[in-house]
Amino acid sequence: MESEAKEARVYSRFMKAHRCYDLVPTSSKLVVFDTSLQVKKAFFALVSNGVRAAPLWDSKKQSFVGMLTITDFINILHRYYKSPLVQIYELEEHKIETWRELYLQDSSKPLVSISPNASLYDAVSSLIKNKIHRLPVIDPLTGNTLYILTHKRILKFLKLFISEMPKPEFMKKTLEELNIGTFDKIAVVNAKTPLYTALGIFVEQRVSALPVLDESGRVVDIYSKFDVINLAAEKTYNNLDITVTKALQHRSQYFEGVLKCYRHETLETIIGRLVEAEVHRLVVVDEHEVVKGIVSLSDILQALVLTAGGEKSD
Amino acid sequence: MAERQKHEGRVKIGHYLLGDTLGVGTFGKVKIGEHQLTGHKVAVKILNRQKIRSLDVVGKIKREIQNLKLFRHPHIIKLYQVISTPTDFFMVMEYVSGGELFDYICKHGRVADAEARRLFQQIISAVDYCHRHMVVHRDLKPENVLLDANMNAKIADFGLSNMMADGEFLRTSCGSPNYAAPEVISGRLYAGPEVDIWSCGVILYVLLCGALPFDDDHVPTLFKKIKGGVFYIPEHLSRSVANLLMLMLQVDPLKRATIKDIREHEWFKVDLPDYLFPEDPAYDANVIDEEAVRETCEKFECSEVEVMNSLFDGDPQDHLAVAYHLIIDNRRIMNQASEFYLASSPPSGSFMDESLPLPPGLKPHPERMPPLVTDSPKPRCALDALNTTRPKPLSVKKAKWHLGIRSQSKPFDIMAEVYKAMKELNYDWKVVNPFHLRVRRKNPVTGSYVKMSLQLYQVANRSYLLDFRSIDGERDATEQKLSIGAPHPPIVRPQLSTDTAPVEGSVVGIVPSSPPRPGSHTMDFFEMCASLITTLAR
Repeated sequence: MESEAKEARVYSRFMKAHRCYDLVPTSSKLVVFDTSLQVKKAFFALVSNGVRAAPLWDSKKQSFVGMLTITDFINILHRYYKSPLVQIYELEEHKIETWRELYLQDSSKPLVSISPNASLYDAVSSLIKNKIHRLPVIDPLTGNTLYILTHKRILKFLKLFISEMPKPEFMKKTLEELNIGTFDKIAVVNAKTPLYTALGIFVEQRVSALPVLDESGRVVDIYSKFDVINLAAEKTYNNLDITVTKALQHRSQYFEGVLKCYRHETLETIIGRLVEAEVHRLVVVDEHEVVKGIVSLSDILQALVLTAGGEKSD
Repeated sequence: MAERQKHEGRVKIGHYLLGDTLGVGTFGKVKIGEHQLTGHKVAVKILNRQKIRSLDVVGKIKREIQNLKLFRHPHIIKLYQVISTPTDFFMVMEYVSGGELFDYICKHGRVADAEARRLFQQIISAVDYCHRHMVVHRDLKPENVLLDANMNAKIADFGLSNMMADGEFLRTSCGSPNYAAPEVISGRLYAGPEVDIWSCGVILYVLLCGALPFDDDHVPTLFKKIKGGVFYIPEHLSRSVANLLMLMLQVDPLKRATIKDIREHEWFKVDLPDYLFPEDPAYDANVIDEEAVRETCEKFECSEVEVMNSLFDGDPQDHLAVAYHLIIDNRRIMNQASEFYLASSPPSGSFMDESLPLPPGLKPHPERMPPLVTDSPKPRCALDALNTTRPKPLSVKKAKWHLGIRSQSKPFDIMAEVYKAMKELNYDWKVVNPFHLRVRRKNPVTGSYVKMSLQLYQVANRSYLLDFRSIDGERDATEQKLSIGAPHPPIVRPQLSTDTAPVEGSVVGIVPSSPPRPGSHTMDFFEMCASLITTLAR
């Protein structure tokens, strides 16, 4: 029994034994924005540099004050959009600092970051506790941002070495048995949902993707926050009255369809699929392809690392 | 104690400060070492040269140790580095915190059947790995099986016994020949893989019973017992594992179980993790891997012809042939890991042409950043102004980035403009030569000094490049080439994550006590460059 409980915590121990530094690639691109840059230019720069987030540098404070992500783009569009005929002034003219002042009001919190010496366990805890997807790794010695840590990167690292560790019992259990994922009040859209409504759901429900359903509740597509950046790439953000389906037409040729799973599949299978496909979540469906829930990387990491398959961690 | 005083402080080997003695083994003392910068802990084994076979030329030992450095197995203590002095060899090795399996059993008694199996499987996997690479341990015992923090077995001292003089080997075994196979104590000089099987059998017995199968205070009686091969099987042992023990503790080496037999044994196969016995390497032994040959040449400072001869000679024990196969084996394991560290930037965006075919084997990411639509021929974004080389489609694979300014003016005119701009910005400077300056600026917010060097280069007939370089404040003497990326983490398997100790200068956050630096070094540098560039552009 004791060794079983010990095995259950093998991933927690692995995460505690490795530092964020171990995950930083040999070479990678990091884009930093000065907060006096115009927001519009910043979003274009994200696209043209092929990055999804950038730390924000406040020259007056001489410190990193936040992150600019696609979520900011969504929030700006949702807050200031009026009609296809009216240019979004706030997007065209505001600087990053203006936007942050308006958006954060007085609730501005210090940037959540992590030291390269901190353990991966601390990184996972921070990502989950703060409900964030991008965690900048900042070196206390130089004050430099080294890398932006994500759930995806951490899980990929774990997966790389998972076969060298003893396999805990819970890996063979199903999603249903482990109760991992979200199964009620799943935010969804249908093919005719206007884009603006979809953005509203992102803002209000703080979800990262919306399964697109047909009339009988079957999943036919998925619209994720990442897809919104396409509006910047194509410069089509002035019309948010189009349907979600229309917005998805520009999707890259590499899209391989919605990635799904069943509740009776094992945690091991699910992790394999998530890492292999490099996506952030799987849509849980029943035998008729009807949406039952969502299982995301945050759910998985929480289960593997923080709660050791559902049991209370020490 | 005497040693400490003698050296006034702590002895240093390479970058490692030696600390307490971890143990005294067959081959000498083992001390803990701590990297002076990173705090990375290692075990340093001190081998006295006098104990090493006198007939051996030093070169041969070096080659044998060189081979040990290539060993990579999750259950074998990794040898990082060998440092030689006229009197000793220092072997810098992986440190594990769990201590010896021997001590563990002394303290906790025998372990449960499942736990014994788990450890035994790991040990057999490690032994198999070494045997496949032509190294026999000859001195396996619970003192040589260490435990890491997660109670995984790690075998130490593989390959070392081969360097010991015959006979010397047994005499130095701390007077405990309990694990030695009958043919070893009989003084047979040849000791092949089957001696390790015997020792593994003894270890398995110790794990399951908490006692030795052959034991006696009187050494001749002990030898008699070992040669007789009769041992007591306690009642709590299952029939299955007792059978395995009898197969392994078989006096006749020819009748003794082989690794293959053990792997096929029903008791062994239960809950066997896949990673312990990976699929046989898929490479075709008949095709020479040129890259591996080259790497072998590099590591052993020999010619390709020598490696080829070794491979064609068909002597599997030839050290060059062994090295060659280890290199191929390691590469297979490392491929996965290196992909993780290298392929992190999405291969898209402004400087990769969309029509370029992806490298084979690289799957496009499903969430690939879409290309930015351009609506005018002007720079696509503000940042492009800093990119002095325009990305040319198709012909350029990788855009080169310079941080600097290009100019067609005369060199002295350019420098005159630079001096004017620096004056305007209140920068201090020192002249190294007319085209090389060291510049300093006091950050008005943090109060710290930011330093950089400016160098004017001629890049073409009448074209000049003013290059900006960051100078690290703490290490004033060494100039750091601008690097935006993170310092290089070593590409290693995770349990060895600090294997290659980070070199000086690329270490992050090594001194836990120092307060965080206000501001950011790189951003300081960028802001300094940006002010200078904008002033010059006016």
